[in-house]
Parts: sequence; structure tokens; C-alpha cells
Amino acid sequence: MILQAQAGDQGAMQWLYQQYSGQVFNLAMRLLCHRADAQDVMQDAFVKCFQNLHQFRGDARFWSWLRSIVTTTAFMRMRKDKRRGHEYDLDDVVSEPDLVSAADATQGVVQVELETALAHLPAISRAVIWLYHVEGYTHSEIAELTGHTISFSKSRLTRARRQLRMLLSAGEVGGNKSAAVKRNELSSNSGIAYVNPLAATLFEVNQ
Amino acid sequence: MNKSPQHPLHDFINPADDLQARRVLRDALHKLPLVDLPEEQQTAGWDNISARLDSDGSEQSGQRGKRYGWLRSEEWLGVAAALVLLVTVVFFPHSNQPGSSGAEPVAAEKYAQLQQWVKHSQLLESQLRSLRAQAPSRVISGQRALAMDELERMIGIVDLQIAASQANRGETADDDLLINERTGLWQQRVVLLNELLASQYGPADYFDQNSDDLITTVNQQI
Repeated sequence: MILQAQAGDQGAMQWLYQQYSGQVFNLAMRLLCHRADAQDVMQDAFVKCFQNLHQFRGDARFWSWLRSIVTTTAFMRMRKDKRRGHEYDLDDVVSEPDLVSAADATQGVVQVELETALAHLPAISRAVIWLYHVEGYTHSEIAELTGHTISFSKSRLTRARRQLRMLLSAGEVGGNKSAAVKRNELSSNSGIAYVNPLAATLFEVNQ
Repeated sequence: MNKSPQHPLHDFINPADDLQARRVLRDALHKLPLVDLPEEQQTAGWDNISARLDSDGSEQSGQRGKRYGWLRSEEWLGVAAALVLLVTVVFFPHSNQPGSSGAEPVAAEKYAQLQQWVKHSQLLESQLRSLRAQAPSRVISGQRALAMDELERMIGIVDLQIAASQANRGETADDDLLINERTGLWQQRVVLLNELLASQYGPADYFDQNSDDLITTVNQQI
């Protein structure tokens, strides 16, 4: 199918899109925590993917290759928006994050709390945590991606974990299921992202 | 930090053992569900992508001339200068290496060269961040902003190529080829970053009559 897509077959491209769009959107959402921007990044990444498909060597895994395009596109988005004064200041707290998962009472409270805490991390901290712990990026790869040094990646990861720990310990982790569920319901019903003022205050103190 | 020891994240929030804390966090992150992409958004996404691919394919040649029609402005000199350097880098990838003798360097030397370009790029990124922090709201002309946009777009393309090359690393038999490729890409990145710095924080007082041709050439290259 990849060979067909490389030959310009749009049907094959559409098949690849259908196979991978969920993973791509998930990764973009985890990095940006903003649904509309994640959709933009997903589309941009697929366009770049198909335009540069001739560069893909069959001996690499397609998802590894596509994932690198998605992360690069997401970081490009953050950098560009930063220059324009958009909310993505790589070192600042995202002011109005979208809760990542749909409201679901069956979803564990821990997951809700963890997602809420992640959403309130500074963009770069969230990205470093996700790329290192979930996607398996090395510090060297994160350094290349962010344009920083390896030691920056290491220190940022340590700092990000500390920030996440503080957010989780200050939140309702394990202690107040109704509050977490209520917050999710509020977010999904109103379309307005939940903002945790305590978390924001914590970061101002912690920066 | 007084969560119950039975709580799934207890060992992360109260880290007695750093390794265990990391393991707990990693496991919790892995257990997060996939973010839902509604079917209608998935369908709309493909329609949009397909339209963009069609548009890019049919208008590529015509659009280039139109797109860069506004290039004949002194604000574009920075971009043009970058492109001259970029073309040099693309066609003569090792001509500006100190001590370049024409003989192919051994693998370790090639890798060291690659690392030098990566560090150089990081240094320029750092300078750019520092300058932006010092003067975040510097007033620039619209045309200069467009030129900077174009430079950032080109850096983005180089980043994509670096990322693609990175993804192929270790999974291809020809590592030498990959190191050469990545070295060339990082060189391009350094050239473009230098120009972005100059465009944003330096005077743009040069002009190159051949900027359209250069941009067309470089776009074909990258």
C-alpha cells in the first residue's frame, strides 16, 4: 500500500490516512492539548507525509517515520505561534487547554487527573514527558527536535516530572471522584475547556 | 503529598525510589486512552488533505512564480543571501569544512562534523530565543515578516527532512549515506537560521537580482 501511495495512488493514501489518523491525532493532541490545533497539525503532517513519501525508505517502520513528521510539525506550530504571541509559549503554561479525553464516567479518576495535570504543564514540559516516557524518544532525539542541548532535555524532563508531581499532589487525585467527573461533564457539555486556577498558580510559584 | 499507598500514582507522587517513580509514571501514561477523533472530523480531514494535495500538484509550477512575485523588494535580500549559501551547501556540501582535502573523511570524523553542525544550530536557536526574549515586540515591516515566514517555512522543511532521516537511522544498511545526508541538512539549517537572525534583528540592506531563480532552484532541491 505504501508503494502504491508512493506512486501517487490517492486511494492508497486515503487508506494510510484511515489507518493512521487516529494515532496521529492522538499524538498531536498529547503534545498540543488543543483539539483544533491538533486537527490542523494532523492535516499538515499528512500533507507533508504524502508530499515527501518518496523519501520514506521501506526498511524503516512507517509509523516511526510518520511520527517524526507529526512531532516536527507540532513543534513547528508551537515555535511559529510563539513568535506571533499565541498561547503556545514553550515555557509558559497553556492558558486554556482542552481536556484530552471525552467525558466518560467509566474512565478512571486517575486518568482524568493525570490528563488534567498534563494539560496544565508548560508545552515543552508536556512534550518532553510524552516523547520520552510514551514515544520512547532519547534525550538526543528530543534535543534535535527542540533545538536545545541534551542536557536541556534531561533537566527539562526532571523539572517536568517535578511539576507534574506537584499538580497531582495538589489536585483531587484519588480523593474526589465527583469533582473530576463533574469537571469533565462541564467541559464536554459547554465546549469550554476547564482551567484549573490552582494549577496555574502553582506554576507561577514554581517557575 | 499524603496520598494513600494504594493509590496507583502514589509511588510517583511520593518518590522513595526514583526508578520506581518513573516506572509508575510511564505505566500510567501508557494506560491513557487514545484521544477520540470523531468520524466526521476524520472524513473532513481527508477531504481537506486530498484537496490540498490536488491543489499542490496542479498549481505547483504556476504558483511558484505567483507566490514569489513580491520578492523584488529589499526586504527579501536576506532570504536571497541565504539561498545563495544554501545552494552552495546543497551542491558543494563539504566545501566549507576546515581542512577539507577532497578525501572522504572516516566515519568518526563524519559523525564529529555532523555533531558540530547540530551544536551550531542549537547555538543559533539559543541566540534567537535570547533575542526574542529581550525584544519580543520588535516592530518589523510586513514584507520582512513575510520573508521571515518564508525562512521559517524552509527551516520547517529542513526539519522534516532531518526527522525523516532520523527515523531511517539505524534501520538502513547505509549509515554513511545517512550521516552525509544529515550533515547536509544540518548545514542547511544553520544557514537558514543565520539568515533568520539577520532578517529579524539585523538590517536587510542587500538585494539580489536573481532571487526568484534561486528560490525556484532551492525549492526544487528541498
